[in-house]
Formats: sequence, structure tokens, C-alpha cells
Amino acid sequence: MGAPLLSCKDVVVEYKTRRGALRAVDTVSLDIREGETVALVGESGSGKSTLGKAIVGLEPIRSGSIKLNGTELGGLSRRAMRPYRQALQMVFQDPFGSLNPRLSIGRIIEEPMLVHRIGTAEERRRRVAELLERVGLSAEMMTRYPHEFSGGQRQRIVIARALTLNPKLIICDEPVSALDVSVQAQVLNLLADLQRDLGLSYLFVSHDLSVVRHIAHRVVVMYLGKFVSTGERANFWDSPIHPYTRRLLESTPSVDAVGAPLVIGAGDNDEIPSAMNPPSGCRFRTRCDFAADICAQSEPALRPVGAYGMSACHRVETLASGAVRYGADENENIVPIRTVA
Amino acid sequence: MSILKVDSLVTELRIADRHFPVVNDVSFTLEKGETLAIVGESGCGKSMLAMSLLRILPEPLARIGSGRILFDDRDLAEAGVDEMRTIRGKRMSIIFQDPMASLNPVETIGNQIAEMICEHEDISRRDARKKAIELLRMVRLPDAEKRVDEYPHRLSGGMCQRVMIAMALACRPEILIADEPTTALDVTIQAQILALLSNLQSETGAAVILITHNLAIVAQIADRLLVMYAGEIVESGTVASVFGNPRHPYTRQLIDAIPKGTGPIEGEIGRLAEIRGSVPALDQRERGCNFSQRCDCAVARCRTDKPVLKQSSGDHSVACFVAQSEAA
Repeated sequence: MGAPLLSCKDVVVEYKTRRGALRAVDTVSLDIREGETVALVGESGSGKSTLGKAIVGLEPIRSGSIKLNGTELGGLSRRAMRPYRQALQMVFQDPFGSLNPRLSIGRIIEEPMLVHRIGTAEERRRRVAELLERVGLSAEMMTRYPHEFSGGQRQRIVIARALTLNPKLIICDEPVSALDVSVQAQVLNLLADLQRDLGLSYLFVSHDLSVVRHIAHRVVVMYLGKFVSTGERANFWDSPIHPYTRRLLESTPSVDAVGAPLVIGAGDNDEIPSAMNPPSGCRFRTRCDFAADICAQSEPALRPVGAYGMSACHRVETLASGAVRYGADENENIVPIRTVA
Repeated sequence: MSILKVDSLVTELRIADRHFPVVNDVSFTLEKGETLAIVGESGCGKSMLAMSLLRILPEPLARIGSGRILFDDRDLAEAGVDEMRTIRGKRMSIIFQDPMASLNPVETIGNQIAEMICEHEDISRRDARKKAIELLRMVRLPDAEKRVDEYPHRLSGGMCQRVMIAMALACRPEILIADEPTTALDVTIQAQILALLSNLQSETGAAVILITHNLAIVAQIADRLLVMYAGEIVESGTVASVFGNPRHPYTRQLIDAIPKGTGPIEGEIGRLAEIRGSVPALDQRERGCNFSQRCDCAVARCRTDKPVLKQSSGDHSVACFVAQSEAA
């Protein structure tokens, strides 16, 4: 594979608040190659959506660089950014909130061409018809309005709009989390078909690891603005190399585990801390079942671990050796048993 | 021992002066202390069924058309407004999907819980507040003494759902209906809330009706399940028997459509099994089996006759001509 399509280096996104700066994305680097799906996973508040928005230019970056095919996008003005915007598109979670209820479907899909002054009215109409067929709807639907469509159909319309300008990379921000499983499968299959036929790349932002497992070539796990773990499809899932990845995987219920209790964190009320005031050292240590003294003292760097990918954890070697055990607590919840440092 | 018996319940929705059944001839029993899951896609009537049981339907837009809801030998379908008020919250309560929207934003959580207790018990405000703190401790809200005076916007989604559970369990109800209780939460928080619910359930002995579209949750925490499609129960049975041997084509396809969390990863990006089409709209439901339009196994009879739910083995029942003839 050649040079990456998108290359992010040391990207920082900050929000100004009354209590000071909130670093939503803290010095992360990410490459996405042509035709590749990279999944960005983490809980609410991990900064995954913010990074997606920063890549398409919806959030300004504080420092770092974002390059598309070698061109720096970070410092560009709105006008200079325009031609690159065509290559970067976004699909949001809520197909009800992303479509203007007062515009017809045809007009909604045509809009990007109007903004970029592309084609004659007839050419645009033909393109809209083609796009509707492409996403599994029919060209006659272009005169209808969003309220006439189901959630799954609306998400197809949103995808058609994102395809209008022949993008290279689509940021999909939780594109199927609002949909039923049956419809979710339809939309995921559509995304896979489009990738195969058009050579698209996806940055797939999601909190659902079973969906990610199915569609991603590469996985990046984010926690409180940092990447904590990355890996390739082939070896990411069997050996979760970061305690946080492990927690996410174990918390995900499965239809194959009939009657099996869910694994929960050992602490009561195990929630993500505020990004205003992240813990010292490793940010996950306050919730980690395996934290030792060193985890509070120094911040672990993202480093390669065997053939498994990258992990930012001081204790990953101990964990990779399989020294994790589980047992029931007094309420018969299955919890990890803390290993002694 | 069954605590609730629903018999041929029909709930109707009025659209342009016509009444359409959104819950169509549904019968089931709820056993004491069990977790009964009701699953199906959006538009299958799961939530309308829950609202019917508690009689919180948006009347006159929706109403119970016929059937009985037997709770303690009383028929809730016929119960008056005052009688329902003594039951709702005290003997039967509900938690909804969106905890932020279910709490009053301009009242502290402590006052909201206390209000609930005062409605049903002869208790002073002071004692009600003490009880509210106790309940918040029970649902493991950290710093319960301090948080009791917080407003909902100061709490995370997971904490708000804990408050909702505290409120729902305040009067130790015999039945708790949980309508998509964790759909809005992260997986880690979801696991904690579900573990909390099942612990409290075994402490209080309440029966739980869990309404969800997430079959994986059902597999791990429910005892029995009802699969609903277009307002009707198409399959019911124990979790082990339905997941082990799904009989209805709809149930099979629902299970197949879920991306698997375990098993080998193939080299290629895999395709998921999808269910083509969508749930038919209320005015497009036909005489025969509602699923026949989307079903790969449908035979001629499926389009003209409606299959009824028949016991196939033990506690496992299915409403499908094809599955029933296979069994015979």
C-alpha cells in the first residue's frame, strides 16, 4: 500500500470553557489508507466524535496536522478548504435530525452539487436518480419528503447525499446505532458494497464492538481524548491488549452467551471521569482492575506489543500472559479479581 | 405462581377515525420473580403493550379494545382511574429508555423520589427524604447524601437511570416494567445497570418485564421471552429453548442479523444476514401472517390464513404454519 489517504499527526482539539481549556482530543496520530475502514471506539465523552469532526473541518484543531493526500488541511481558510471538503463527507447517527424536513429528498441529495456549483439542472437530476438507485431506493422517490421514510431509508438518503460529490473518505459517526438490528444489517451491507465498488475509505465511529468487529480493517480505542490501543482486524479481537479494550469487550452482551452473567467493573458506579480534570498518569487507572503504583505516576506511551498491535499500558505484558482471573462478588456479579502488583 | 395474566389483549390506535390494532390478541402470563423479555423491531407494539398494562396509553388516541389484564384477580383493563393510581408506582412501576427526559429538570432528585413515596405511603417529608437517600444508596449512587439535592442535569445518563430505578423500586413493586432501560447508555454502564437490576430483583422478588430490541441482553439476563411482530406474539419460550432452537423464521432472521461478538474472524469484511423490507404499516397489515411478505419460507396458506400461537414443546410456542407442520 502506498501513502495514506488521510494522515493525522499529533492532533489536539480544545474547547474553551469558563473553567479553562478542555482537551477533548489530546495529541493523537492516525493514518487511513484508500479502501480501508478504521473503527474509532470508546464510551461517550472519549473524544471520538470530536476527532471525526476535526478531520472534516467542523472543529478547528489547536495544534497538529491533518493531511489529505499530502495536502495540509489544518490551517486552511473556509474558502481554501472547499475543494477538499468534496473528498471528505460525514454521516451522522440520527437520520431524523440530519435531513431538512422541508426539502424533498431530491433537493436534499442535490444540495452538495448546488453548493459546489456542479452540473446543469438536468445533469444534477440524473445524478440524484443514479444515487437513489445506488443506495437501494428508487428514483421516483426524489419528490417525496423525509417524514415519508423509515429510519433505515433515511439513513440510505443520508448516505446518498454523502456520495454526491464522489468522496474519498466518509466519516460515519454511529451510523447504525439508532436502527433496529434488521435494518442495521441492511445499512452495514450497503456500506460494505459501496466500499467494494467505489474504493471508499471509512472512519467508523462507534461504541458497538460487535458491529466494529464485523466491518473494520483496523480498530482504534479511545479513552478521555487519547488512543489507548490499536490493532489490525486479524489479531485485535482474540487478545485484547489493553484493560480498557478488555472491559469494553466483556461488557458487550452476546447472543451466544445464553444465561452467562455480564462482567462489570469491580468499583461501584464505574464511569468515565471528567475530561476537565483527567487522572494523573494513565487516564484509565481510576477504573482499571489491574492498576499499580506506576500507573498513577507516569503516563504510558502507545507502543507495539508483540504481534497484537499497539497499547498504552504499563502492565500490558503482565496481562498478556493471561494472569487475569474472574470470580463472583457478594452480589454474584462476575468481576475481575485484582491481581497484586 | 403467576402474578399477571394477560388474556387476548387488543390495543387500538385511532388514525383518521379508524381503529387499528397495534397490540393484537396478545396473551401471556408473568411468573413471580422471573424476567420476561419482550423483543421485536420498532413498530412491533412492544411499548404499546407496556403502556396498556399500566394503563398509561395516550387516550383517546389509543385505547384498550378488548381482552383482560388479570392482576390479583382484578381486571386492570376495566380498572378506574383512582384504582390505577393506587397500583401504578406502588405495585407495578416502569422505567423508560431516556432517563434524562423522564426526570423533572427543575426539581432535585431527592424531592422527586420523596414525592413518589409520599403519594403511596403515610410518611412525613423528613422520613421520605431519609428513605430517598437509602434508595439512592441501594442503587449505588456514590455520595448519596450529597447527590440527593442535585438536579438531574448534574448527573450522567447512567446516574439518572440509577435514580429512575430507585424511584421505580421505592414502594417495592411486585412488577417492574423496564422499557429499553439501557439503550441510551454505553456498554460498560449498560452492564452495570443490568447487573444492578438483577441484584435488586433477587432482593425484592419483583417480576421484571424487559422490553428491548437487543437480543444479546435478552440471552444473558432474561428467563423467558416473547417475540413480537406487527402487534402479535409469534414465538415464546424459555431463553435456552428459543435461542437454542428458534422456530419462527422471524426469530431466526433476527438472531442471524446480529453481528456476532465471538467466533472466528474471516479475512474478508463479512456481510451480515439482513431481513429484507420492514415491518408493515398499520394500514398495510393483511389477513394472513404479517411476516409472510418478508419471509423466505412462506407458502400460499401464509398469505390467506393467520397462524395462531401453538405449543410445540414444553414451554416453547410458535405461530407459523411451516414450523408447526415441521413439528407435526
